[in-house]
Amino acid sequence: MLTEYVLFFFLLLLIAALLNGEFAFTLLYLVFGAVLLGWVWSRQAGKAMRYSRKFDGRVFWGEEIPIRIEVENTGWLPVPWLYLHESLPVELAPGGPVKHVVSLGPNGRTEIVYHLQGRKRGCYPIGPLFAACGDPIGLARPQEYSAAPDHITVFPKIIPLTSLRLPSRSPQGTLRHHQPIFEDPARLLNKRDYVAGDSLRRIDWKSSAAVGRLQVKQFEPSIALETSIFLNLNSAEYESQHRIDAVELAIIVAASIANWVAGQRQAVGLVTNGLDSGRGVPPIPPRKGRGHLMRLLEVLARLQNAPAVSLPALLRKESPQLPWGTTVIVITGRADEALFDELIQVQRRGQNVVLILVGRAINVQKAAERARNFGFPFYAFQNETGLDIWRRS
Amino acid sequence: MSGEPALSRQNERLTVALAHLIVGLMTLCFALVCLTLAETAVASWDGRGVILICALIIVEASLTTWLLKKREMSPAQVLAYRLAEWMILLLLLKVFAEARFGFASLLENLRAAGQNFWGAVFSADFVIVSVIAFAVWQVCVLFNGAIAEMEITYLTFGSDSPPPIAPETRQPFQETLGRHFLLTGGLIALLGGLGLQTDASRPFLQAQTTAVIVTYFALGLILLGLTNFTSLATFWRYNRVKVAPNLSTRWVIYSLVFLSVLVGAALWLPSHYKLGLLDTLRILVGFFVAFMAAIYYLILVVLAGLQRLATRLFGVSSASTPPPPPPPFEPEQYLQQSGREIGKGDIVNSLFFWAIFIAVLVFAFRQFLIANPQLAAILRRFGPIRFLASLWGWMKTALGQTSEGAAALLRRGLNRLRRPDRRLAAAAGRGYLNPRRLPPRQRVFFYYMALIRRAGESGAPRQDWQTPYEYETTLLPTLPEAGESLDGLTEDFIRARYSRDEVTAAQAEHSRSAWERLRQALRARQKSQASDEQAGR
Repeated sequence: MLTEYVLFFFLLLLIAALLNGEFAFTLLYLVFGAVLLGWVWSRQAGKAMRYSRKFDGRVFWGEEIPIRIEVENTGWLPVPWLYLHESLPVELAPGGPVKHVVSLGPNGRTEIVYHLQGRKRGCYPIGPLFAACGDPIGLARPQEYSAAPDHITVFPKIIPLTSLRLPSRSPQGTLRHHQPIFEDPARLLNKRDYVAGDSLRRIDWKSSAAVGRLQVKQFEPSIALETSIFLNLNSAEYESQHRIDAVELAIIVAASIANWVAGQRQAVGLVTNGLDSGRGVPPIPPRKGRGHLMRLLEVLARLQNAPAVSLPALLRKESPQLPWGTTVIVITGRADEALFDELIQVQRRGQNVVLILVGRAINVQKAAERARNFGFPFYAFQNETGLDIWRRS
Repeated sequence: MSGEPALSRQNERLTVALAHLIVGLMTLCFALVCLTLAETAVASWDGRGVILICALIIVEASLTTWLLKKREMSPAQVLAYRLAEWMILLLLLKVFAEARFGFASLLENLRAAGQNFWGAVFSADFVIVSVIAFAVWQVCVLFNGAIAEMEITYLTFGSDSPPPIAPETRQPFQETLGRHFLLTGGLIALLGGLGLQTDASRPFLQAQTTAVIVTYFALGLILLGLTNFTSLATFWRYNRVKVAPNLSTRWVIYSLVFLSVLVGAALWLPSHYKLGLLDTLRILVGFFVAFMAAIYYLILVVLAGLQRLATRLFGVSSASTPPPPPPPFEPEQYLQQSGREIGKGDIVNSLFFWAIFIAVLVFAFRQFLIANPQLAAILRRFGPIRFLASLWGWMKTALGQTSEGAAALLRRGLNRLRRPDRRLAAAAGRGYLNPRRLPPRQRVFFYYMALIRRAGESGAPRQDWQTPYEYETTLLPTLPEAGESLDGLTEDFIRARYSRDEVTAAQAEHSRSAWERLRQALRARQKSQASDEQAGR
């Protein structure tokens, strides 16, 4: 169209020159003023636009995520139309991108709200936001802009566990235990009459004075459950046919166990050979607290399976760094000789081993038998419903 | 719920009806210009009542074009229909051309047909009326064809039914209308210019013709705005874009503002000039020279005054006289044809005119080059153009830098005036900040930033992509003895940075103590690294 305008421009010049038509200049101002004014308008209006996205960057699986896009016109020129196109990941937004057209007055602002569904764990880009604006006449080309994307992390699915029993040998913790050798002097259970042989340190002098005979304190046995989850995401150690489901299940199991352990106010850590954004994940030492759990869940949200160091090698490298009495929960898709050899070494170092096989693993019976022989708990889950054994009250 | 789509449909129909009305008015403007030209060119011809004929022709052309588009007839059928239509139209035109001066005139023409059939039928009056009517009809058909296309596209893209036409087809009707607008506009300008050239003695006619031509262009811009809206609305509807409810209202308001500004500016800006471009440039250069001479004279006067003062102080008699003032600036002396009377207003008017003219020229050329990058590439190969382009680029950069520098200076000055604690600002400017004077939240930030800086110096820099937790995980193996402090400081920072909880002085103190322990650990690490390096040498 521009060629036609240029030709028209020269025609007007010709009329002005040959026919002495002064009105030709008025027309020139009118038509080229429309192009120029439109160009300046859309350019300046586009430059004055500010975009910001407001949302919670971390969400749990299954949650609905409200996302607000705030669009502000910081200039004095109104924006007749502003087309906004927000690119969204198909995993969270099956309906495709969000598209809106708004009009803003001088220094005006508007807000666009849409919702995403946290249906799949991962770290997803929200955006970029493409914007286009133009003048009302449309002689000038619309100006296009884009705003950088943000990221949202969807935590893996967490199955609330109620009756998970993990072995521990760490005394003086906060979890009840049935063995009296783990008695905790901070957890008073009862008082009884003194019998010969009781330690004098256990006598409760105030109660003895009140009752009139010697009373001794009885303490509740307790343990500290320091747990480290070894999550195997070496793709070679999963059956290729069911790898995707098995890996997802492994991550769900790890997240659920971490959630349960953190809920018991115990320390939990994570060691994995999976990749986070294409890089290896450094071991996360066992720590307590919700903040630490969030950190674990963030890593679990982004983990991907890949050809990596084998699980026995990972155990050989990382388990000696863990303190005595730590519970080592191994989650994997395959249990072979090498793994059992390494697990025995872990057990000999005074750490407790729990082996969990996920997905459609082969030789499950054989693995269960060997685990029983070596004396550590063994579980095999083909799907999420298998975790129901830990949900019974 | 069903009220909203119904209202939308109503608005769509209103938009299309408005487009038809605008096209009708534009064609009427065209008819008026044609009539003016005919009346001035053929002095004996009387154009009484022809404008009414043109109005009827416009209505007829609009209706038939709309009907033909609706029925989707084959080209052969259209041709047959149009031929039949023109046969009837010519007959009616003949009757009207002869009867508009009275029934007796028609009868007289019929009688004359018996003697000279062709001469009586194709009388000058009838030919002129027919030519004008055909031109008006043709313009109307052209515009209405594009409007009908717009109507079909706009109204067929329903939200309920699947769209029958791909969105790529949204452009043609807009472009076609734009082309017709320019083509007819060029024709109107040419005919108007010719009309005024033929009879320049009537200023009223000149003003009337100018008003009609400007009206045509103003209506054309409204039509383009309307088609732009319908085109975009169709595209948005096709792509299921949510449109704000106030969009159309605001669009109308902003379009009116846009056009008012434009028409106002076009009518206000000078459309004539008394001085040619070279004369204007000469006057401009002359003014510049006179200005510089005045400055030079002022400097000389000051120097002469100083000299007189010095000679008086030392008691020396001086016979120096003050320099003669420069001659006053006379624009006439710079004109090619001397003796012309030029007022100051004429000079300003001419300056303004040529400045705008050159600006329009440059803008048009620039836009043309942007639209044709191959041509721009060819032009860039020429040495002088390359030099000019680089000169322009240099000037643009220099101007940009100067303006940025000035803006930054102004901003800094304003900030300095606004900031309550100037000492703090001054300290920050020097790169020194006393954490004790900061609020608790800022203190936590300070200690965490100090950790990042110091850890970076010790060979464990934070990557841009790392979150505080991730950085902690990376840093922990290098500082195992200060794990708790690191954890504590990280937690404090996250709470201070990302939560709305109040950060107390005790928490800031906790961060400080954590930072102190970490600093010691980092220092120890640095020392051990240095000793390792020395041992290695």
